[in-house]
Amino acid sequence: MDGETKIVINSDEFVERFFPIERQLRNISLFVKNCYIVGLLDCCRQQVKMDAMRGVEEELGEKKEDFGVNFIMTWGCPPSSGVPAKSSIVTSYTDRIANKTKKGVVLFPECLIGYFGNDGKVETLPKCKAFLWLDVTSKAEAAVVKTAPKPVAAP
Amino acid sequence: MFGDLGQVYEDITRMEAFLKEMHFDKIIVDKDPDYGSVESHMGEIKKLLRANYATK
Repeated sequence: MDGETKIVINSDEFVERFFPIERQLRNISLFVKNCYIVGLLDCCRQQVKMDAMRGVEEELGEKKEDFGVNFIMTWGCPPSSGVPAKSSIVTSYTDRIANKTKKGVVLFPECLIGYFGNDGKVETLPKCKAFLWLDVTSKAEAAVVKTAPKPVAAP
Repeated sequence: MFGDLGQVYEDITRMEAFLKEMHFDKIIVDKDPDYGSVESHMGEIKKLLRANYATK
């Protein structure tokens, strides 16, 4: 294991049993300009033992390439731990973002700061060079707001 | 696959509904993934991002 989360796939072929989802998302944030990755992995994690590594030690979760990217990843549990089969992270995550949405706009990563899920085990790693103001109003709603008559000043 | 599959499907459906509520232009849902399909989705996402945002 390299300390990054992978999707476990039920396959006969060994090379197709693990899909490097975290690596792929990190690569997108690194190589595709103007993109902002927000990920939620409701999964168990295995921690890499630092004494098994050689050369320069990197703190887990902190990679040199993370500078200058917009990448926010949330895991259901700390490294070397697991999530319950009846996980509630999706419910708590969506509730959190909905509660943090004000006037049709939600601000990342601010909306996830201090978010630990219902069981207090959720971890979020925000690596952002910029804030993201995500407008969650529909195009129809936005058009209505845009075309609404401007308020007339009182005489 | 680990855990309660029914719970997993329920969570996927809940997340999909939430993303629709947030008016995302493109939502990809794969309830029966294999390596090829996941790889293909990632390729599609990269292509969409490069086409729509990389040059702006």
